[in-house]
Amino acid sequence: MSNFETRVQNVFREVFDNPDLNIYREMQAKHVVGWDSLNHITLIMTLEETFKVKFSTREVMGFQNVGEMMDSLRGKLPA
Amino acid sequence: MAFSDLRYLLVLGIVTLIVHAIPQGAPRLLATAFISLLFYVSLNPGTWYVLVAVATLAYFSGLVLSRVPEGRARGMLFAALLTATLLPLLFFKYAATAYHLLPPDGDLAVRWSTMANIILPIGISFYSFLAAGYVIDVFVGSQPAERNAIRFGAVMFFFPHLTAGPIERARHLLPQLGNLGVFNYERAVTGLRAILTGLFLKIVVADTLAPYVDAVYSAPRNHGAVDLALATIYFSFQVYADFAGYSLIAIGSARLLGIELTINFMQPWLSQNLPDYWRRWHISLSSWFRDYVFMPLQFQARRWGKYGLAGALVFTFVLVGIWHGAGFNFAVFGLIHGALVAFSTLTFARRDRFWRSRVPRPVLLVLRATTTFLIVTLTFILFRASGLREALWIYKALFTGAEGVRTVALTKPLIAIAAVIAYDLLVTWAKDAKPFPVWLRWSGYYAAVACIVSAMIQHVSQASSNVQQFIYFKF
Repeated sequence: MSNFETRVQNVFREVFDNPDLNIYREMQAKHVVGWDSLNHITLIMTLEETFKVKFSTREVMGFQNVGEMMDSLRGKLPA
Repeated sequence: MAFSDLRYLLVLGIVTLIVHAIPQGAPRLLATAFISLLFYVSLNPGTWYVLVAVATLAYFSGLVLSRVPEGRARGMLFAALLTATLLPLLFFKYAATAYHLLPPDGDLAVRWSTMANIILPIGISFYSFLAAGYVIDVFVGSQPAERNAIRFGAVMFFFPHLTAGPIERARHLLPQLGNLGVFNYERAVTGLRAILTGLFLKIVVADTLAPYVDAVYSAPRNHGAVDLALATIYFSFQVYADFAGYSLIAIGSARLLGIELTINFMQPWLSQNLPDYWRRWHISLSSWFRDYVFMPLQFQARRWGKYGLAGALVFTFVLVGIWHGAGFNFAVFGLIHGALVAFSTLTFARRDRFWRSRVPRPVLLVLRATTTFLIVTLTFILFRASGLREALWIYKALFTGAEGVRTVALTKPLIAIAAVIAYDLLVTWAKDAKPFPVWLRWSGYYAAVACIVSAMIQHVSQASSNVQQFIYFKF
């Protein structure tokens, strides 16, 4: 797991209050206990704060799984 | 021909055979779309073309959006296409109300007079939401545009979900088209079981409760508080059995054809709080509003924290309310639910700690389910009364204990209600249980068939309360 993925995983562990949570690209809300529509926004906001980026509403609506979320996030970070 | 009409079962059987017999691929998809359209035209001969227009518009919207490059123009195009997709729904749903709001003798009112008589095309909400969801999904990139018009038509016109949902997503059905007409024993058996359960809920429970509710609600002012309370409680179980029953027949029909539709109800009267209720009641509608209205709104309002969340919830629920109809009673229904869901969500953790430390768990489960049921049932008065004024009158009568002799029967309706609660508890409990032995299962099926047949004979013999139309057909 890259440094980037570890940081994303730490955000997930913090938001869902589960220190053993392991993320993977195909992971979806239904695979994680407590990932409802309210926690979803908390997750997005925590990612925004941690990585100092901004998502658009359209991007957020288009995410189908953790992989797509990470790709979009990585695209916003300086190379 | 409604799903609870026995002729429907005959037609479903024939259609299932035809769909399985026709060669897989384009011919089978085309046949399914065509048969579905015939079914719809037979139900809705006057305005069936609205369905075809909305489906065609959604299909081309997807194609266009997939070709236009990113940018401001694409966003504006999307807004225009989405509006156009929802326009027929807005027109048919609210035109009659708009007419009644006009001054009675203005010129415009004369010109619009035909609008008061507009009949809502059956299922327009359900197929419009499917179409709009698809256009949004293509725009945000969560669903590639479907290029094959036959595949798209098979999804849009697919008759099991067409008349009253479950509200489907194209991205849920399109990948399943390969299973259409492919026989799978397990799926067929669970499909038949869903249809049997649905018929039981509709014919034995909902249609038995309906006349008692109608008798009180057709003239509420002639009744006392006891009658009003009973009829209101009966109505909660009636509308649940009616709509969950309908949904199960739709789900079962689709399974016979190889397609899995969205689960629409998960024992809502066992809900532990109001947000829980909305995750279990008309799930395909609440999840549609969650994904396409609430989440984008809440995301936009995320900087306002709790207030943003509460605002997004109230706005979404008011929309859910007026989706049911243009009256103030529906708007107030939405407003109350939005406010209560926001309150419940924001205070849940604290209340949960308080009650858990003081009340034993089994007692808490029952108390919470009862409280949630009573709150929702009280708001259903807004939904069942003829308008806001009448609803307010009923609230006053209930809370001041208006006097009156009880005229509403107890025995038959309470048996019907006990049957629903038993079914809900059984489903909840059976999820973790071993499958029942064959003799017990088949005794259950025979008992259900016997109940359905005897209820049908009774309904027909009481000519006034024949098999009733599904409540959600009018939305």
